[in-house]
Amino acid sequence: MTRRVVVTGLGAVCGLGLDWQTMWDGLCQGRSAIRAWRLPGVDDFPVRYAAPVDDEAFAERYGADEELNRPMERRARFGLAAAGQALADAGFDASGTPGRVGTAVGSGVPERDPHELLHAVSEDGRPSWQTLYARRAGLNPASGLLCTNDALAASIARRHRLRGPALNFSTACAGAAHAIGHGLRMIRRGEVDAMLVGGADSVLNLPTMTGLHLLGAPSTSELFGDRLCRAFDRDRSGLVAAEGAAMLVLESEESARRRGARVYAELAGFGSSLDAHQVTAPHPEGKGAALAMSRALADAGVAPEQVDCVNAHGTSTPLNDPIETRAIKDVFASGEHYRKLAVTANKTMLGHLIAAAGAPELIATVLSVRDGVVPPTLNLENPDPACDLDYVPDKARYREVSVAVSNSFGFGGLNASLVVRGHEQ
Amino acid sequence: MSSDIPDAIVVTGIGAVLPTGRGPEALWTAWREARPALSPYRDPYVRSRRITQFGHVPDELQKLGRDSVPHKLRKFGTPFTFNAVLAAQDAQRQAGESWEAIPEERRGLYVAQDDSTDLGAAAFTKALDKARTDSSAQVGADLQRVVAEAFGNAATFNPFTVIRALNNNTLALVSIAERFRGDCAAFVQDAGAALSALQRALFSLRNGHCDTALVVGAGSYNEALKLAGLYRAGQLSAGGHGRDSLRSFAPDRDGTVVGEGAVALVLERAEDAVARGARPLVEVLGTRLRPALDGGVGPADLAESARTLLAAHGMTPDMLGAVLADGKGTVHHDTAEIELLRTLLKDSRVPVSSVRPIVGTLGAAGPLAELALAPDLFAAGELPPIAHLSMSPDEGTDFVTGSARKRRIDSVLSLHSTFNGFAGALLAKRPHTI
Repeated sequence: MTRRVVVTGLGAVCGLGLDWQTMWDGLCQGRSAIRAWRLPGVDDFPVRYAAPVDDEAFAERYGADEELNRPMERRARFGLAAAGQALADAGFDASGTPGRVGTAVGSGVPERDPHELLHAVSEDGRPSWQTLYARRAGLNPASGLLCTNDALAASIARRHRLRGPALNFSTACAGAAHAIGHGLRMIRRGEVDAMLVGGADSVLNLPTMTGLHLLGAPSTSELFGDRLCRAFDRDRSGLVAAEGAAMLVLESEESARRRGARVYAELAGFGSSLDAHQVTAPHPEGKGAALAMSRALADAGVAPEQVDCVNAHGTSTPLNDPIETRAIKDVFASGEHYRKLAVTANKTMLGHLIAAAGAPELIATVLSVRDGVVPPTLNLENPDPACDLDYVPDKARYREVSVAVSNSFGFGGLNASLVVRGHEQ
Repeated sequence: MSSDIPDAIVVTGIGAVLPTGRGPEALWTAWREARPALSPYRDPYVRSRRITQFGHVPDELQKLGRDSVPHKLRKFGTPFTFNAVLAAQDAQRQAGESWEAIPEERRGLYVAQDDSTDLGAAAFTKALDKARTDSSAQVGADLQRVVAEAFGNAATFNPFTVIRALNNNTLALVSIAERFRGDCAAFVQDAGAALSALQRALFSLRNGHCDTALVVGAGSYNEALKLAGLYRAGQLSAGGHGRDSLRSFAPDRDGTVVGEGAVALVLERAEDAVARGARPLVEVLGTRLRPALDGGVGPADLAESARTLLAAHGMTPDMLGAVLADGKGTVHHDTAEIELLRTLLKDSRVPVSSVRPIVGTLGAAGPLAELALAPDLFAAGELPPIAHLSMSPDEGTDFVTGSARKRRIDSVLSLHSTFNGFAGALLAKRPHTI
């Protein structure tokens, strides 16, 4: 059995807004969520810009939702909110479909509260469970079992009574894309009828940001202010971290038709690969990235010449951008089709949502196909000779997008690409 | 039972690094001899009187694991990811030399990993130690000062901590060390992760996304905050019976004993395995993973889920050769599982055992360890008993107590539950070529 899979619901919580409409409007308008930022309690932390979720606005919108106000990690809170939005947007009620609707989410590093870590330190400078236990009243109530990596998948399944498979993917920055891609496969082959898929992450805490900083991943530059995320620009200097979540409802075309659901687009293909090269650097020739894109196109039954747009991983790191450019040129080499592609980097506006990144970017890809708009790549002021594609600088471009590819690549050399195609109702 | 289905997927190589030792044979022997591999909890950075027992991988085996990883990669890994690399190497070795002819781009890698042990209290304390910070008087009071000293630069905080903390760490290290460039996925959801990894590997093999799949489960519960969370939730045994403290289904059970380990399995399509002269060890039929008790899904629903899995392969519960129960040893989990087994097996006299008292609750490696035992069950024609259990906890279910049950075993259903409310099952059978 091979079934077509369509997107029927969207939800988003990110720095650009607390729903997908606001996010999409922001992307099309070239608005950036990146702003001056301070790590709470550490004024001299060297990373000075990020794209956080507006806590006040979130509290205003979800303050009455008891479940979202229970102790939990930030990413779980954002993920639950986005999941609820996507299911409501799809008009989806899973209660009548026991076991035929599941969830797959991508998540990253558990959020560790530094106070919690300090509480684990005993009087002789070593962690002591007794000390931790004795001080348990002071522990972050979101700690312990609640911050295991699969807590979001479990919470979504419980809250929305999704009794089908519940999967928690952990493939770094490709996590959400892998969750979405495997969700596609499961529906296509009839394992389930629908899947709530996406990702949620928040790295804007001391331990994780410190780890990322010491790895040299986030930019510490203050030269460009909130124009710091400069994907494909000569002066790019690292990623800009963000937080948030995005979810999509995928379902079989038959299921959508039966329900009379609105269809945004078809999710047509998925490809994944491994670089098997280095943990902290992509393959220098972009072989893994190219393989993921080629596989996704083959999976969709789409020729490279049919693709109009690539929603790039585009991290604004020195290594990723030229290598992704090279991989795109390899995949779309025939007839130099890469010259005709509109390549966009949403991270210049959203920041890098790490494990969740692939989900808002897939939403943007879906809406590009639906609306015929390619959001811009901001801050591309001084092109890098090694990045010589059409990156849609500065302003959104209105053009027909029949087929688009969304890329996500992760630490460790993990690659995932998704193909979106227009859908005739 | 259905037979010779064209998309039969078989295991042709098994590697295991467990508290019982290296390889599935060590686990099998310990189970037959009712010899638990649990031991007093120890950690260079954590001391505890309440965390008493643990399923530690023996030190010499840990060292072998570390030595199996190329030197340049070691700074990125943790002890349990090193164990995963060693298990992967053993599995590939058993799969035979001809396996190496499979192109790297056609080798899929599907990984189940436990929550990372890094970015935890131990890493934090190492940073504090290096910063020579006496935090005793400052706990919670002067966060900024402590943080500035401990987190301020790479000299005090390992620059690769975040890489070690990423839960795709095992996927990354195994792919690089063992040259896997194909389709992939990685999961973190306790034992459920292994069921998900297996299911995606089966899918990818059946649908041509890869020509061989390495499924790896690896992890460790040895992280202070994780252990504290489990203790606080009442999941851990007080350890009153020493190494015999994990007492699956026994009236005096008082919690589980968690542990660590890694298991790797080489999977391939049966016809491919036969074509290249490999010996199929076990056929993997499928897995199911569902949100469990907290989601309004009770033992009856989970029994129905297992029954559906069996039916998808032309089987009914009474056709099973054996059931390997989860048997975590907590009051709550075991009570629910007893009811699940009663509902599923209904006087069928299918024998039920559990390896949990021997090896502990392993997390991501757990279901794969039980799958690794299947070839021995088939070959020996016996099902070892549940250690420390003298009387069946339920009259309607045939729990194996006392001595091993001799019988021909052609199929095995193993049951699994997670601390976060998922439950699942794994179905395997004797391959036709043995």
